[in-house]
Amino acid sequence: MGIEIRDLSKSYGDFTALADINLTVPTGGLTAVLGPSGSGKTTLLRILGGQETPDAGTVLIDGRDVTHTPARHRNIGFVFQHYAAFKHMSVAKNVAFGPEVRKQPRAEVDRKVQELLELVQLGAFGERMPSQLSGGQRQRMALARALAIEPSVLLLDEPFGALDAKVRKELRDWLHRLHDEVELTSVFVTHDQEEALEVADTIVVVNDGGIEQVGTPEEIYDNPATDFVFHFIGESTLLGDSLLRPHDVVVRPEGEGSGLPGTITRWNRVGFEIRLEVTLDQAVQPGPVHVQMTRTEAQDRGLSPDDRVEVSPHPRAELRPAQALVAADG
Amino acid sequence: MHERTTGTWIRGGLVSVYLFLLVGWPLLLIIQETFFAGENHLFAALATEEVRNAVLLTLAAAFWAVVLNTIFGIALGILLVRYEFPGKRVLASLLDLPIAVSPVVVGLAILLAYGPVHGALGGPLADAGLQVVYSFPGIVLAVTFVSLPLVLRSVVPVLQEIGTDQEIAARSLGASGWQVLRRITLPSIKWAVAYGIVLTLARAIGEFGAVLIVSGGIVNYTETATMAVQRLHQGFATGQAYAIGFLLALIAVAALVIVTILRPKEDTRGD
Repeated sequence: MGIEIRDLSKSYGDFTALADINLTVPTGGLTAVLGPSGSGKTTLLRILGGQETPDAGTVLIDGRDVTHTPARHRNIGFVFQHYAAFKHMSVAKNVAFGPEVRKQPRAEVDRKVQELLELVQLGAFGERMPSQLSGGQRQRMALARALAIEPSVLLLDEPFGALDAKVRKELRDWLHRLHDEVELTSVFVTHDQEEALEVADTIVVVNDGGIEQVGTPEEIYDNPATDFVFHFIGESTLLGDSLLRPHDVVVRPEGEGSGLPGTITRWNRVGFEIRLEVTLDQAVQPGPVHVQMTRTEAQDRGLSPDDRVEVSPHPRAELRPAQALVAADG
Repeated sequence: MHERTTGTWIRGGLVSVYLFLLVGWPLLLIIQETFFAGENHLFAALATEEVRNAVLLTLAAAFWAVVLNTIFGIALGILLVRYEFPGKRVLASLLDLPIAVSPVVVGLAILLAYGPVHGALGGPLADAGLQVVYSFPGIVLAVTFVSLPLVLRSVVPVLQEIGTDQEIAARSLGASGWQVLRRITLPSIKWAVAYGIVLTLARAIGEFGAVLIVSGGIVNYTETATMAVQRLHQGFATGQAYAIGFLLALIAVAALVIVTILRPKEDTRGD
């Protein structure tokens, strides 16, 4: 059940957007499709939504083959990147659109609209026009409108992209709550790894029209299946001939530890976090080593800018051969 | 607001003088000649049956031109903006031809195509009982032709601007093609259509050259208001000619004013 994608391919002329994709999205989950731009993630979502037809392959939703079903018969809720609000209709009319074109009785439509507007905390805004709403409110209206057709699957295209950080956070929490309240399978597309790691139960990492890895946020972060995933998710730095996470680099004052000697050449405080650059004495690598630590850690070790230090990987750090960096960049 | 400098005054003055000399003053003279040159020529003109018939004929022909060009303009606008097909660019340029070509030439072309003697279509149509040229259908054909792209040209930029997002969203919510058109596309372009209609109406009631050739100008039968102006003017009934001229200008201005008043100021609030 849920969504099943089999051997899906799609090309635009010479450009292969998706190559032989196989994927199962379980019912009730909140799945992120994460990838850089041009990776094929939006094409995948549009094929699920029925806005694109695949060249080959099958899409099953709740066991039903919908590969060639037009968008309007799929009963999928789609939240568009720029909301696609019906500008000439009030908020309530926007939400009522789906039930109305399905010719549901007036009283039932009204009841449903009011219910959904309450759910997305727009109960008092029904008579407003979309242009009178803020970005976050418009996004919630788009959600209510998509939910009004009682979809079994909800697709969201870069849902948090155009919103400022605080509103994004609110919406994420809200989407999570929604999932607890309504039986729904959601898939959202994003290029923002932080967003995917924070919101999704399952992350599908796509690159170059193929799937790199499917897993929980922890699995993806802790055990990247490919060099691409390691490089794309989270940050990475070079230490000697290894690639590792910047927070897996141990920095100690000179003489207290073991490792490569160097100098702290950059010191950047971002909230509770400190980002360092350590330039090594020996030219074993191009550029400095990037390090992340908390302010407390730095204080405990007595580190300050321009100090002489020694750097080594943490014993439990996940190390990768440095060619990964080159491969992922190429 | 910009500060009002000498330059602003000079520019404003130039525009005002230009518009006054070209538009305001001649129109004022028409009004003066109609109402304040001894008698009220408007009532006198409308009291004659020929003038009433000419005005009614003009309005009827303009009505059909508006109906036909509105349907055609919206349909073709959607086709040109939303679909890709071979020859699209050629078609898009050809659609401006009716305004580019002199109306007299348009009239001659219609005469050749639909005339009872030489017309390729005119002969068979006349046999079937439908006389096009020197009759009402010919007049409708001529005014429709000369005002053909006006709704289309008003609608196209708006269709391009609103894009397809709302239409795709409506489909995903279960709307059929017809429902998308009626509930999303048409409401989004309605003010552009209204402007196109006003322009079409103005162009259709003002048309002279093309209609002159295809209608034959038979008084009480195929004489339109503009032709009546010409006849009365040449027959030294200049007062009545001015009166009809005033009436034609009034209809066009009234249509424009009505649309301007009805249109909500939604654009200023836009995003």
